[in-house]
Amino acid sequence: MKIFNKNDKMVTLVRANYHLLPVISRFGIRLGFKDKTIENICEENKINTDFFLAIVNTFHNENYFPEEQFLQFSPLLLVQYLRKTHRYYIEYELPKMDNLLGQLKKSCSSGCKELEVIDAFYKRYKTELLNHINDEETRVFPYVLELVNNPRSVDPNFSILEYEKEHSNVEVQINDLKNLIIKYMDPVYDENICNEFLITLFRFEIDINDHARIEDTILVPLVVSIEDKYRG
Amino acid sequence: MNRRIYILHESEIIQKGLLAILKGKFNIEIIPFKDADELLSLQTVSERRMLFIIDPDRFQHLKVWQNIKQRNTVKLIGLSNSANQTYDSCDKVFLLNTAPGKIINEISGFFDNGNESANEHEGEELSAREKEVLKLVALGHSNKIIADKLFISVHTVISHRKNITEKLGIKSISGLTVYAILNQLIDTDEINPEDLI
Repeated sequence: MKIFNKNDKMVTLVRANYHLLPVISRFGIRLGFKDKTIENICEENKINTDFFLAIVNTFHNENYFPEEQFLQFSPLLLVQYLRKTHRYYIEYELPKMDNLLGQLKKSCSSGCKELEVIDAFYKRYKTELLNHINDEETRVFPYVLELVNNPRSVDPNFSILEYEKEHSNVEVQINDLKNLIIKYMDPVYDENICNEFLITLFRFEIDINDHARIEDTILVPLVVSIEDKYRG
Repeated sequence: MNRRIYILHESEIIQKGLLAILKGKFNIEIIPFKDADELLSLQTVSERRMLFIIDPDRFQHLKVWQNIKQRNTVKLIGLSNSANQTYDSCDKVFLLNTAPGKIINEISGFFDNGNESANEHEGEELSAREKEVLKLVALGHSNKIIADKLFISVHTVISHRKNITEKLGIKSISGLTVYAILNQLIDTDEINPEDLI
């Protein structure tokens, strides 16, 4: 699979994988690329090109593991990006799913008990996801910031490896939600709304798995290398 | 899973050629080996998905294969220049004049397969016992309590749970609870489903 480099055109990136659109937006890059390269556009927007490439390549290619030379940027950039991603989930993706599920429930005329059960499961998923996000925002990210700004003041007994809890439960639940609807629920609803809801879930799942991968393959190694430097 | 492609061929031209063909196609580490001794370094690795492209005339009958195959998922592709030979140790044999696309497809098949392999039991029906276990899981009981109620060991409960998850394609406890409700394994007239999920 293709690994993008700074001389590729930005438009190539989007044509190759339109799921990258929201990722690009999170960097504050707007459309209207003309034929500019990734490097041109990053410079115009004052974005670290290596950082941008590490993120889009990790997103585009699940086996991509950025080499050390591309990990020379500050973890602060990464935290800023991850926070923007969280906001995007909370302000855009989750409300979109809430809304579609609400429409789906309205479209059901009789025998809607199953949809209520699915709705309860979705709410449970949402709560766990928000807890997970909140945990990162209030514990993990502040720890990283403190480690970068004041490395000697952080508790030497803590490590990012303990902080960064497993994402697996949230990942498992969204997959279960899809399977329950596709395989086991009676289709007592408007199919177009349901398809729209499922497509949104599939896309969200890709985005959120990638988000977890960025944390595991970029954030954690970066932070561990700083921890090692000060703890020897 | 950790995935690797190894090229074991004494011809440098073939090695480099394969490397050039495969490099852009897969984002999997490709490691060229010149002789059988280098394989010994793999004796200690485990749980990898490894594909070897080898010269079968020289390398198909090495003792080390058995060792590597025990702890990893392995495929041996032989690349031979004689159509008359059979190589029973190789999973697949290609002639040297085979179109590269065929080898690429073979490799893709091997690595794609790994992503789906967790689901090989998906679709099989639950046994009566598994339904009982699932019902108790959905009601929120621990493995220990389920074991006591059904007079089986905790180990057996865990094994049932693993099978249930594989057959249904549902992994989380709350997801299994939803399944149990949708399939009337628990009576929702008595219990409010939202309390369980």
